[in-house]
Amino acid sequence: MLSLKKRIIIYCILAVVIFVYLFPIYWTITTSFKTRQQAEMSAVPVLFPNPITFDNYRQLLTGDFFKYFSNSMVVSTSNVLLCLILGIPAGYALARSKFKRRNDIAFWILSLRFAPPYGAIIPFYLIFTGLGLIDTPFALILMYILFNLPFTIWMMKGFVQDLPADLEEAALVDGCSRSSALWRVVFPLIRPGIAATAILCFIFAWNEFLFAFILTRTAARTIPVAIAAYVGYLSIEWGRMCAASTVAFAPIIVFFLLVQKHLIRGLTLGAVKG
Amino acid sequence: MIYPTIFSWYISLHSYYLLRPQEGQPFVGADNYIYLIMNPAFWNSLRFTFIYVVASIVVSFLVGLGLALILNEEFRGRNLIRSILILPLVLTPVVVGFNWRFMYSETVGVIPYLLRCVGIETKAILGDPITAQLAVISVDIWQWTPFVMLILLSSLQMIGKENYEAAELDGADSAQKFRYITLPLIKPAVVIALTFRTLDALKSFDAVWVMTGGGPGSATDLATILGYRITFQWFQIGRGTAFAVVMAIISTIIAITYMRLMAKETKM
Repeated sequence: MLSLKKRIIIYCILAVVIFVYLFPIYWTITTSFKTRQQAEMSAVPVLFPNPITFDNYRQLLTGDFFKYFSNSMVVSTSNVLLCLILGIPAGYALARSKFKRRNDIAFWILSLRFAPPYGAIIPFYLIFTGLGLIDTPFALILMYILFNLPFTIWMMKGFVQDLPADLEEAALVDGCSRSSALWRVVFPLIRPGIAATAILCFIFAWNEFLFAFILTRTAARTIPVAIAAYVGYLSIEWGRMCAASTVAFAPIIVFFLLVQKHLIRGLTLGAVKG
Repeated sequence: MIYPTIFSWYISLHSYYLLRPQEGQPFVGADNYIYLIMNPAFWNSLRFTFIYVVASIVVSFLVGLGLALILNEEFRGRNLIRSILILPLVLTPVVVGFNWRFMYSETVGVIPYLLRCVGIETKAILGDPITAQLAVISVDIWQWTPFVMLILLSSLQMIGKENYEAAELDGADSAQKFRYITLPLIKPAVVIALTFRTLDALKSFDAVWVMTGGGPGSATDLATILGYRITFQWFQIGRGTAFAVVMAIISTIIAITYMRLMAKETKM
């Protein structure tokens, strides 16, 4: 155990750190419930909204924001589903079978994480323009698969490698085929890992800005692009913007509360086993 | 991924101006690159990108290391704090940028208010080149310091207690223990953290775009922002692509350097 003096110092430092990290989030969420008077005209910042108002959210609903929200939802969820369908078998194959240049493939997947997205976007912009896919959710779904699929494969490979191979071999001896061994033995065991990977893919797609910014106009616009566009105007309605931010944060915070342990591993590409 | 790369190289050698389609895309050789080299805005953005990346990784590394060392001690509430610190890593960068812009705002912001309370009068924080630069860099530090912390912490936790006990028997003080036991053992994790941070900082766009859009003037023009403008606001696709190729080369060089380091470290 630490000495009392040392512990006090630690708690003081951490109190500052926690304040610095939680205050911005707290401030955004509370401002979304403030009246315009409280949010913008008060000389002293209002710490607790009083009275609580839902006007900001009501205004969001009357605008186009709901459309952008459902765009984000459609793009993120279909991206997750496609990545899992393609990524789980691929990750399994990479972990279990021995073929030449296996490590090269893994390395290639990792290097995609480091590729500057700005370098990739111009060719894709021109390709999608040529195909008439600009401003469709389809373009974004394809784009995000390019980034999330390698990630899914990489994560799945890690999770499968953590399992002892004996388990499936036993299943194979008992007369299972490869695919049913994957489905019946491996799949249930890596389910928490799959959930975490799916959530991270969702969050990446949900948060992504640059591609969505360039590949959409208004019909397929996602939440980050909508928020950036609102901010671009000269006068910003802070309360309404905070409500939009809170909506953007909501799914992330829910997921975060559900599976934070596995998120660490995903965020660091397996460098840290959470 | 290979096709876009080749396509980029190809376009970067052509004049491709979307607003004048009648001109077609004539081959211009290295003209796009020469245009960039002659352009002060290009050098300005590279300089600010360099400052941004270096400042961000140095500060987030030092603070992250400090936090990791603190959280490596045993005390109550440690796991809770670690969990809280994961949250910024998954928050939408655009929205984070907006939140800070809100807090920096001179009319409704909290930060100017707090500064006034301690007697510092600020003009518009995001309206002055120097403070705007500090502001965007500090947001990057805010969001990504926990990342460094997480990687270093997990590496610290893998160091066996017996290492330190042996050193204590030999009479080492805590500075010596840090220097001769902790540091060498977490070195691979340090390289990993720095690699991720450098390449991610180089890619930053979202938060800065929302906070300043590169302004005031061109004070916070990151390479990514200037490249975006050339390509998608001025529609000079050839020049924009040349810019993207330059940036891709720079980050590849950095990535390869780090990966060499990593390979060396993990072998040891």
